[in-house]
Amino acid sequence: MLMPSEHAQYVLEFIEAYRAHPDSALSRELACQRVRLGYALEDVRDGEVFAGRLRSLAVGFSPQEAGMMDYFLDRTLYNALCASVDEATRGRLEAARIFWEEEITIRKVRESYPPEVAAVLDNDECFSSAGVGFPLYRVGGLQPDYGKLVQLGLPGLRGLLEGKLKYAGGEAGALYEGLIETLSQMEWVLCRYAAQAKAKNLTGLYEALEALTHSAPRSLREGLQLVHLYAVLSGALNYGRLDETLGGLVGEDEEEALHLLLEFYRVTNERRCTTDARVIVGGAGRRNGKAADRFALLAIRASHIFHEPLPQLTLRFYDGQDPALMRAAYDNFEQGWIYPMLYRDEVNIPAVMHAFRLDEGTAAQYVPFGCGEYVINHQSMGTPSGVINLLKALEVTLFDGYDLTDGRRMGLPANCDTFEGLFEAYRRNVERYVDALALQEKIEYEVAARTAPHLLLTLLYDDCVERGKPLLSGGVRYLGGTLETYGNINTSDSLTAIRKMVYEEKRFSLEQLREMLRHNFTGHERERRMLLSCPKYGNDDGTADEMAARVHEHVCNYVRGCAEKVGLHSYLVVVINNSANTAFGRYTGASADGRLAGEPMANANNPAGGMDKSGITAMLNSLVKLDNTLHAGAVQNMKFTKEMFTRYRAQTEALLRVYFQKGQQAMLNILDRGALEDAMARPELYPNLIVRVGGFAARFIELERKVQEEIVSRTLYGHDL
Amino acid sequence: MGMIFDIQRCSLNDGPGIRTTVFFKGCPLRCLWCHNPESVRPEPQLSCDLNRCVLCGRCQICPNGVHSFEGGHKVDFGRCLACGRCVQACDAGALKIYGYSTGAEEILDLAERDRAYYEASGGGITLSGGEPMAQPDFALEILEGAKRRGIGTAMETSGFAATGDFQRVLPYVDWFLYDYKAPTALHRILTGVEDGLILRNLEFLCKNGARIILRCPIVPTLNEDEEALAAHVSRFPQIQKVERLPYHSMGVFKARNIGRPQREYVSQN
Repeated sequence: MLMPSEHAQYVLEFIEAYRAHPDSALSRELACQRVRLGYALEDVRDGEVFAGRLRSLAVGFSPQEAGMMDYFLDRTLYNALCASVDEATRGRLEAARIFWEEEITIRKVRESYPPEVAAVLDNDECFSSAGVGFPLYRVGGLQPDYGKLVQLGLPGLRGLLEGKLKYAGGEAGALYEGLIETLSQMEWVLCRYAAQAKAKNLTGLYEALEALTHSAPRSLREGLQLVHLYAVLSGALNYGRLDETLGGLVGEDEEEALHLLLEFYRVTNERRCTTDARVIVGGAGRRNGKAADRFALLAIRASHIFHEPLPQLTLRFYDGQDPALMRAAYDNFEQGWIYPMLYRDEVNIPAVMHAFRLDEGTAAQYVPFGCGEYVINHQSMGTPSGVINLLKALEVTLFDGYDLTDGRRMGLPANCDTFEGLFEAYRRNVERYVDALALQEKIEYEVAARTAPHLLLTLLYDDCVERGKPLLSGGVRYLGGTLETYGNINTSDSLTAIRKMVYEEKRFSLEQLREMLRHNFTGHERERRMLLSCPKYGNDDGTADEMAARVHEHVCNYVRGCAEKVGLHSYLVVVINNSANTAFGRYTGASADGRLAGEPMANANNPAGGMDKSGITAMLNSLVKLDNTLHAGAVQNMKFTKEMFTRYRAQTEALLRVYFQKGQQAMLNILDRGALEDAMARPELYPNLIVRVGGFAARFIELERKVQEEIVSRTLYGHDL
Repeated sequence: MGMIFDIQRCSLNDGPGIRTTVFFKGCPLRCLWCHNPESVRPEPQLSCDLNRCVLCGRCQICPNGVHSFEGGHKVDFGRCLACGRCVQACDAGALKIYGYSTGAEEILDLAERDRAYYEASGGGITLSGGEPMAQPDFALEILEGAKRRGIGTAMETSGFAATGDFQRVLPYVDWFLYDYKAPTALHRILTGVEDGLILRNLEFLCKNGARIILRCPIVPTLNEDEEALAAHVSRFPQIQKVERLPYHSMGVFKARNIGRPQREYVSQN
């Protein structure tokens, strides 16, 4: 623990270091990092296998720490700190804060918006207020070149930079010197931890840390230590293709390797970066296939043993890959375990080639980060810097530009005499936000580039060192961005219902529909039922699925087309899954698909909760109808009973095999006992939960309550269904 | 055209692989424990789940006075013509009609959508019910059509149908899921029919090269006779597999909802 007085001293020193270098972003970053490292490192603990843990501090520099960006201010910590120090210190902290509030990077990004962007993106309260689109502030989704780090080690990197420095002058020369200084800072950290490990008699840890100061990793332990330490110090939250990075270091003793991996998972999980910490294994394009496969197998096994949310283990697979990897994955599923997530290369590589406009070899290096956004491993940036709620865009379209929940104007007025007119108006509302968000992404990178060279990242991103340029100032090979879309399926289901009920069958007028939505269907239960019974995406139904494809293709194509306009290598939609569907749902009024006000929206590209009623094959058929070559990742969340992977394993493998002929990705939930009880309480969330009743299997929610109770009681007592 | 009451996609228990199961309406047997009592009558019929009823009374739209509300929701199933007006009126989702008329091509078009899953798993279409052989022409039309389209077929049957009809469908059925429910002495009491025809048909199928999986519902206190089952199986060495189907009480609830109460069988031990 840092004493409040020490923490205060840190804050003042950090801000002073920042203030002392007004003219050079590079020396400022180095000076600030030096101060940070002096205070941020937590001491090595007893029994620890890997060193490297940072304290949370009230100010600092980190690409995406705790929802912040580059030079940050954590107001909660700062306030708490002010409250716990003496008056004199508090005075100094308050004074420093007045300066610092003006300097934090997020503020600088917002101040850089031109009027047309500021007018549209007038609100940063992303998950606590209503809105169609919001900017996000971060330099995120980092997947630096851990392979290079492990191959060269710190001495090798130093040698490389010193070689470059000989022939470089000017800005490039200064950058190389800065990078060398960064390496020295890392070596200082290693030495400090090594001394602590020695004092605690942690011989293995001491030896690993000490060795890393003068050579590249020679063992798995050293490799994992270096990867972990670099990730922690740089703020990179994802681990790239770890099997390729470390495969060559797995020795003869696999049990020892497994033990080390478990320890590595433990320190990774402790980072609590819930939506990140991806470890990718398997897939085409790894330079050391066999060794990497050995690591991958251990990583899959370790994931099941570890049984914690992080790291998010991800298996890429392709025809001809060692079948042992997929077998190991299914063995995990059979145990009810959710990892690895699955990605099929034969679908993803061509999709990435088209979406990102890249050649096959480059596309083969796709890696999902976080919730499922793709970047090209250590070659591209794809920060998700904006979110858009498509259902809110439809809502303001229906209400002539006004938000249904808080009455603010956030869209354009619409002429909805025909369905096409309505769709056109919806389209324009979406595009207005996309235009602003695309520009925002570009501006955010520009501000970040002016703010700092991001030395630790520059060190390991192609082609920064080659070009002698910082990450965001011409260094990274492909500077791209992504836009998170939400509410896609509720939007398309709503449009399907509106077209049928209002324009085709004329069951009620648009004004009457507005009235129902305004009153959240109170007094309009019958009409709500009619809307609910309109075709819904997820049932292999042509009408509903075509509308989903139309909404999907519109937003994906429009976003993709913005890259050139704003000067990014790519700008792509990501249809990912986190809790934003729930958070945005809270501030979105009732919708024409029958969803009630404030209810969660459907998750990513998945059917709206409980709306897929035609069986798993129908649901899977719907999923693959959405063009996957237009975006940078979409996630499919599938819930299966454990039984599907035990008693019906062959059929389930067949199901997924067929799905993966066109499907990119699957996140599986293999549910256990508690899930059945939950399914009774909230059946709408479990439409495809299949259970064995007696001599047959049935959808759990279609069973009589009593039968459900009986099955729950049986499973509770551990009998087979 | 034929009368069915459900089509279940991604069925995993009605023959090999992943299947689309078509539930025919109408059955000549009256098994005491019937698992699908809504399949027994050949024509559409009303079902009312009183657990879901909110007593709003909207179903009284019925022109035949099927629904009344003195002392709770009463349903006079005898007056019901299955017109479905009350179902439309019910917001609580308590009412539904079992059974609708459809064509073989429509069924096959739906089945076609999962062809890739059949091919990957060795699955196909399964006719079940009810008793598919109670609508032999319709069954044949579907089976022939499936074979024409290269879709695998299975038929779940009690075996209680004309042998000539089995002869007609035989070339188009990959798997018969053939019931065994009781030994001869008990058969009429437990199922409402004698087993003579059923045994003859089984023999006919065995002799003519059909692939057969024997399906045996095991009902507590009624037919838990492993010796009789073993004797039955030994008479027909062509049976490739025997599946025991544990009794479940779901039929009891469904039977109550269609106004044909059924007792529940509970194990004695």
